Amino acid sequence: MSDNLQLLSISDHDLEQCLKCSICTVYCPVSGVSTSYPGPKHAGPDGERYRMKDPSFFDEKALKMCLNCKRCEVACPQGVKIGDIIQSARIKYTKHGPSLRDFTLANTDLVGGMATLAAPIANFAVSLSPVKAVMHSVLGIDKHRTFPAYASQKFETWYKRYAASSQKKFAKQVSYFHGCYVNYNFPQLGKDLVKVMNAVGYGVQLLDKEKCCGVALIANGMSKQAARQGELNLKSIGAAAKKGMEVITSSSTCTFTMRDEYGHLLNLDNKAAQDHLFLATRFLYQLIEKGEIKLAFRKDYKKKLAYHTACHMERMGWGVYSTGMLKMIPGVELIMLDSVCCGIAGTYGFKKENYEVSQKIGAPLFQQIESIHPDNVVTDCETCKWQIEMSTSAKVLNPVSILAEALDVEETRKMNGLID
Amino acid sequence: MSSTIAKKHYDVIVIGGGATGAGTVRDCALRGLKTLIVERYDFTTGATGRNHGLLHSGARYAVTDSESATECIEENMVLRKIARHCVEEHDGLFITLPEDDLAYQAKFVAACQKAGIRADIIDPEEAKRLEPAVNPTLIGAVRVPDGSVDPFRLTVSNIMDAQMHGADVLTYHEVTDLIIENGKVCGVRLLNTLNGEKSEERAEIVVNAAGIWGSLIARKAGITINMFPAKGSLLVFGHRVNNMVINRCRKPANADILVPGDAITVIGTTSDRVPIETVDDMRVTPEEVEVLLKEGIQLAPALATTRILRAYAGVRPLVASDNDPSGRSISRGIVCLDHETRDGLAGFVTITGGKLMTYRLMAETVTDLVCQKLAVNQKCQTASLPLPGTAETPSLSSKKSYAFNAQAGRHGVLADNIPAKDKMDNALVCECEEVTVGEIKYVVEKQHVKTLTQLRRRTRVGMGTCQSELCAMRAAHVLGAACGISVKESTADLADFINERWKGMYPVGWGPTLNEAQLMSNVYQGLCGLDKQ
Amino acid sequence: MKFDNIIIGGGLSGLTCGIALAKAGKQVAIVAAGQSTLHFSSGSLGLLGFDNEGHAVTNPLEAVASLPAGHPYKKIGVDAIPSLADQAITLLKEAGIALQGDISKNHFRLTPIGQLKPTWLTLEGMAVSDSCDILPYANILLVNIEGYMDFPVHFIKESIKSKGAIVKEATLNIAALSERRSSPSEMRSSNLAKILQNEGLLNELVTCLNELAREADVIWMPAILGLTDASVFATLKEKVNKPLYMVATMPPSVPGIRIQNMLKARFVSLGGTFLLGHKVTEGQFKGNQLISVNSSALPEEPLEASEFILATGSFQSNGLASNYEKVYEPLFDLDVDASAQRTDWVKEDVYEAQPYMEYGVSTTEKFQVLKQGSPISNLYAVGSILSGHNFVKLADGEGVDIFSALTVAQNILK
Repeated sequence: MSDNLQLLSISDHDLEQCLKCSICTVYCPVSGVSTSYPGPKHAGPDGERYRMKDPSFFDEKALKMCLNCKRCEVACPQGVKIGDIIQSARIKYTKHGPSLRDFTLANTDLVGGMATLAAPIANFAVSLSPVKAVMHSVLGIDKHRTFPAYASQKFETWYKRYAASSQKKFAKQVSYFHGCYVNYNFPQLGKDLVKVMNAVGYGVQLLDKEKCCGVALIANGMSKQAARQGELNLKSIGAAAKKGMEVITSSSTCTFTMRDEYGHLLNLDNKAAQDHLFLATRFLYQLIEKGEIKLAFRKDYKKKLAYHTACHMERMGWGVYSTGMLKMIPGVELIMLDSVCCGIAGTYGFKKENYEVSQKIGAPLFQQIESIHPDNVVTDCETCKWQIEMSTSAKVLNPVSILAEALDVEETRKMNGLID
Repeated sequence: MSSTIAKKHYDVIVIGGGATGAGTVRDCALRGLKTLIVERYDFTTGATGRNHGLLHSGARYAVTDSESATECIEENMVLRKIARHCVEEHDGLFITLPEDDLAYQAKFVAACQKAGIRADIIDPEEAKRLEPAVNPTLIGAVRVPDGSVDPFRLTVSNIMDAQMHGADVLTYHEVTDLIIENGKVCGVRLLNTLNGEKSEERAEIVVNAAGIWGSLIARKAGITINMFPAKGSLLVFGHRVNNMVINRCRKPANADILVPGDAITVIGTTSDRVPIETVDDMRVTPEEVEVLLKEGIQLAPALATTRILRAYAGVRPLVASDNDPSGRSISRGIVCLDHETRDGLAGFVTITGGKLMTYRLMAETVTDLVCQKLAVNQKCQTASLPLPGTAETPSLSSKKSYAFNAQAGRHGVLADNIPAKDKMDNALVCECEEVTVGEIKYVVEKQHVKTLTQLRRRTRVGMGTCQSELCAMRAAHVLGAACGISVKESTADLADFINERWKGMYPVGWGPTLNEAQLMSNVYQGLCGLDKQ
Repeated sequence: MKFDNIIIGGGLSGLTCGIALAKAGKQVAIVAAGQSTLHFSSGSLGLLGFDNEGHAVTNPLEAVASLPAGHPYKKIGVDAIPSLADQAITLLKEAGIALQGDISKNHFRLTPIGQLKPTWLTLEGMAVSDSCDILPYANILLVNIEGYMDFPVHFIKESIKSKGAIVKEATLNIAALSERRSSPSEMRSSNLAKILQNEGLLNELVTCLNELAREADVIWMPAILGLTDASVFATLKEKVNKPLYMVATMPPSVPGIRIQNMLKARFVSLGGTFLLGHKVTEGQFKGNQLISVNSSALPEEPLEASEFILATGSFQSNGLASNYEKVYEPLFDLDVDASAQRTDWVKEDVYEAQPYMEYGVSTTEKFQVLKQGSPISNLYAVGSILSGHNFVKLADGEGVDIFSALTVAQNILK
């Protein structure tokens, strides 16, 4: 007879640890502002019991309102993976394919690739009111949204032209998963990362191949495509690790997706990759803690910064690394913003039907930012950056960019033994 | 239920608000008899509310009791038609494990076929595909038309239909005595178990349908019925582990049926003879829990690691035939006793034995006897006339309210009658089981509800994962307002309800269930200050 | 990552301990798996509401002396309690939490079903009485928000009447609040509180209340004001013509969440690191010392400290766990004071004192935990994870949380 009788309570996403205490409902950004979302408890563990009985209990319209911010999971004292329950239900029970709008928003690298080719035209076009009106009514992309501008030169192109050859001379090497945003919209962040890594003696390599992490595909019901892209990324990460290179990133969302969602939602085996995938701030923090590198900062650098903990950063629990790095800069006054959702949640806020909810969710954060009036808001997530820049007067930067601008490169190189 | 019914002389008084009593009062009413049903507490408080909720195909009895098997499959097919909203037709498996004799399978299938039960031998791999929770070491599987049935819904539907056809209902009225005049039973003396008032009701014939308590009723007339109270304990798991019934393909034994129903799964049962004096106070012992778990994991290994919500026990009214007082040949068959011919006492008949599955047939049998005695020539219609809630073509409204799916599961097409236009009516009282304010109003009006426990039986309020941690307070408040009962009574009812929920939890008080219990005590006793009233 | 002290658990005891240590200049991290039981709070802090026989306690300071030997207060030292109580009030005040109450005489808080229960401290603005028989007002306006179901007004009204006061019931119909009821499940206290952060709405509320309360001495409303601080309630109170008090609701508890938020803000402002959503998965021991712990979010990042404090709560918070075979401490498998017989854990009547309620980790007189019979010299336990008291029966939960936390902080700082 079994020796394991009732020693553990096991269920998918720890469904049955739920005590129905309703703590999660306090922290749901959506149900706080909209009455059409049934909240994490009811959409999650409550609803799941009935969906197990009969899939007709799946309420697509309601569950689609979940931002997948995972703040319910962070709050849950019982460790129930509430967000995973909801997202898995969407993957399992949604039978139809995505709309053209969702397809467009989700395929960040396909659309990004086309747009970069014609960046000036694309940027001009998406900023025109008639174009916005068409996107609003036909595609269902909200007209209030400012589209992130497409860069005229992809990060990869810049890297190959100007950086690749100089990277080889470094004794230590890392691989960089730049993601769609750095590649198509904001190559500067990638350049900043190369600058910082080089200063502490690390060369930066690109992965053999990288595809969009798939976060938007998952959110828009294209989990099969996401899984295909995920497999490719995991393969590339594995290949880099084999060559002795850790893989660093500059986006909390891409990192979270590859580290957590690949396993939880797409059933990909990402265990090995998890150990080699780092947000750049975490990678640097740990090297400094181990005494392997040192940073020197410009004496004249002075800034008041307000840090916004992106939802997926909160879920990963890695905010402590980014803020830890920022705290190292002597001239920085760091203010922690309340850890709440900004409302964008990737492509969620771009959709016409979600615009109002999205802005309502972010309102308390926007208010707080305006009242603090920082020189910059700092966050690890690119979509938070779009939302905050659209909704406040603040300019938003990634912590890596702050490090790059505050860094005393010469001094740092010296301290790390790169200049005799 | 109030006792302010104008005094009538009834044709029939039925004692007992279980499935059999409810079926009988319906059958009598449909045949035009003036009928009253009396129940000492609420409907389904006896064995009807304390079993698996298995819609037997009869396969379980095919080898040992072919008569019962045939009755089961016939009634199974009837219930699928007349009580569609009370049953789930998901089929069942009879599995053979390595330690079982596979030869039994052939005998089993042959017996099923003889009894008219569809029984298809399927490949173990196919069984695993159909029911992923099944023990993967199985070496044989037979698919049969088992299902599940909600006994609460089934009983209340019968009562509602009986009332629509003129029957009267007195719940919370205990029969203290039979009125016997000139060697004939001509009525019952009653005690209102809520307020202690005494009353009496008269009828041409009294039908004793009180289950295991039927022997105590008969005793009041000096009649002995040789009953063998058999206790059966069961465990409720937190979610659906399986979506088909899983049985062991061997001679019936302990804990060899696993039934999915609503959002949970039930394993049972044990079987132990208990003294008749103890049947009002059944509790599940640690030994029974152990047996249920150890046998249960043989059917579905996941039970070893699935949260258990509660444990409960019921008592089967098994009857020994009159020519075998030793009880050796106890049958599950229907026993209908005409006390006029058997004991020389006219106006009194007993219907007992049987099973939940054959409640309708039992009702038909006893109503036939009653009609014969009253010289009423009316045919039984209950095998073809659908119960309220079941319609030939479901007329489910297209504009569904939030909790409509769950309500339709409980009330069938009558869910259309649940108030849902106002946003307050759509507010969820119980979130686990999606019970709305409107549904509470509806059952208060239509289904004799004045206490939280009654409400639970009609709506599943407090039967979900949290066992009422979140909803009991809301339910007490809404119910109090809907019934116009005093806060003092509501508070006492709430205190009792929390204790009643705990009674099922404490035999399985470990893991998340113990954590839940602490949270519940924290909220109700700590935060609110609720105490025993 | 290195800290001076690491506290596991971010509820009342963990935060109290964290603030005391951080204030003394320690680098402190609180590692919390999730949110705490303050979310079910009454808005009051109990020191000792009932004695072991279940009688209401008038003077908690005197009554603690007669508690049985195993009670945590006995380890803290009955004599130390007055000064710890002063420290606690200072600590709470410095966090901006204003409280009413007197340690030498319990007052009575109004529960969500209208009962009066003895307690030590209650948040300013919550309805209380000095007596369990009489209310301090003769004419009370009891208001609820239309559609809000976690505030059972009939129960409260009946209780008010039974204490001899006149009560008028009113339902507020304010569109922005009542509109929440379009959600079948999410008209919760916390969501109402979020809406009421809006000042325009607050003015609408003022107008309604002033209109309704003409004849009343006092207004009682559900505690749905102020998730982050007391300012929303203060604004409202100032504008309303009659005295205004709040009555605890069913969970989630807005007053409790406010206490949580204000303590956390204070801890962070003292330089503390609060890691939420970090479940501690294991610890590295060396001899009789805990060297470091790992969290689910930072599996390969040992969190090191000189002292560790276990403030993970009882069963409902997963500080203790049980299965078919045993009661255990799930993080480090520490020794527990609990029966090995499952049947001993529970009693059939839920209203009897349930033995499992008193289970907890075994500790030394200084609250150092034991593992396989030996003390771990730098790992302390505080709060509900301590054995020897039934917080539901004694109404002593918050007192044990706070006093054990302060005692341990003192020991560490010595």
